[in-house]
Amino acid sequence: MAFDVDAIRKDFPILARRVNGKKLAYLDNAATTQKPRCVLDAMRDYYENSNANAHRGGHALAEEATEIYEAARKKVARFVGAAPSEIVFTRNTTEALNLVACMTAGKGARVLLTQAEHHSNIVPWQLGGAKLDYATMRSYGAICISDVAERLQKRPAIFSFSHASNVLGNVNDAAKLCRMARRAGALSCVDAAQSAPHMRVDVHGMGCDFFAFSAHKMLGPTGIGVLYIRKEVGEKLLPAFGGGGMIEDVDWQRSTFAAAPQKFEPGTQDVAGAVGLAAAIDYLEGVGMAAVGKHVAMLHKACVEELAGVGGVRTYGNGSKTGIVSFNVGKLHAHDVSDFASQEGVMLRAGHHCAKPLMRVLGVSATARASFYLYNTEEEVEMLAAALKRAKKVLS
Amino acid sequence: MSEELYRENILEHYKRPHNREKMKGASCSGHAINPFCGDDITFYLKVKDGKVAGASFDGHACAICTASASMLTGEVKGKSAEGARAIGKERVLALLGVSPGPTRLKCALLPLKALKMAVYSHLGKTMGKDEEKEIAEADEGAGRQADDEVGK
Repeated sequence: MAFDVDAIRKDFPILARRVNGKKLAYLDNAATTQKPRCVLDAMRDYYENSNANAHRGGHALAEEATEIYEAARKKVARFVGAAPSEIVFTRNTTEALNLVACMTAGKGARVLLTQAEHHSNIVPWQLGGAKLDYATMRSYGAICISDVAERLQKRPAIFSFSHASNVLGNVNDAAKLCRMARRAGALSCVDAAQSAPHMRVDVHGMGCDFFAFSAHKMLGPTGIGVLYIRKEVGEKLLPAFGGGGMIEDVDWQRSTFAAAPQKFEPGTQDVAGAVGLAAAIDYLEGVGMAAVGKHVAMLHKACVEELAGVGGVRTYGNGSKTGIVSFNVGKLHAHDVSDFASQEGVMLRAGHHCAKPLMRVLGVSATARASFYLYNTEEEVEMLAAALKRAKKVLS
Repeated sequence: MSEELYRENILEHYKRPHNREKMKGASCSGHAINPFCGDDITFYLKVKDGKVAGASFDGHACAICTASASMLTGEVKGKSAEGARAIGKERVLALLGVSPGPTRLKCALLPLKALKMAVYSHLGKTMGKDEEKEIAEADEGAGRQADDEVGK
């Protein structure tokens, strides 16, 4: 099936709306993506026809809800090349990373991160009292491999890094980094929030121990995320949270736990969210991940070229595979830039992007960011450039 | 919203801010950051004979924040410490001549927070939680009350 962006856009009701009287150009996809009608329909259908508490009760509806929930898990597992028992549903990437931090790095544990991390891959480790070390970045935005090698010699318990930075967009060679971690005796954890929406991944081939991503950045609903935990690791880990549905037996003083993934999923689960994520995966696979990647790369290239034409624009990193373009326009503050763009119907992100340490490395307090997905068009890139030219004219 | 937000007076103060410098020999200074966008403002005061004899600011900020800081350096001159402390949200909005949306309101009020921190440091006191909240969340009523006191 040929890639048809006009046909794709018709599947997303929100894209037809206007903002400030202008056509909407939604260029904040690295923050969250819009939802196709099929995702909304699937969730509604679940609530209208099959809703019950999954993994609780033996009545017909409970069994149906359980089947639906587990089918979603299977779909997610296949999407990333994992076994279903290795897939844990969480609220989002942030919760997944918090879980990993809780379960693997206590007080004083050595943890290796990188300078390009989102706060969600920094703060959870700090809360647990781990001793943090940071691998440096190359000037073009990728993790410096030789620096990682050097820092791994300090024997961290775990190396946790972003597959792709939410600011720079560069995709790191996760397979290589995981292999290096394993050789150094460290666990590996991949924050895939920005990569999973854009490319085929194979967690077994990558060799990671943990792999986390969010549904809402890949056309799915907010409120559900995924944590892959490698089988051998998951078997040994003690759960971070307790509750119903995760136990084998509970006695007055101690409990034993169910097998993974149930032991990591206490409490009533977000079945409708899982259904929405499964529908989003179906939609993406219907279009084809390769086709999505190709379209996003085309838009990224067009955007970088258009920005060069605005004059005085500085870009950071290289997000050709993730559709991320972080930039500043001369000395204008990113907030002013995004306000002007918003006035023209162009939705940008502006600020530190929850990556304040990285902002310090880049030597800026904020950047503006455009981020693309399968439904964006070259016309929207042109709208962005026109808005930036206007901001420059009024504010300089 | 933007069109109206970037009015002539705001653009004027943004492009040619008044008293934008790190003050040497300041009596006190206050520093405030906006965690949302990374804006960072330091406000300096020179207090002589109980009155603000000089004010300046420094930092990284957007147009709204810069204009607000620039205007406040003029506003605070000649006031007593108590008068400076009593400048409220409404006064800042009156100076700007616009009412920004909830996100940009934080930008507009950040210099006020830095100014108040400077005054409190001069008075040897710390800002009360309520007042801090008032500036951060820009509670309408509390702001107006502070503004009324300035008018007296």
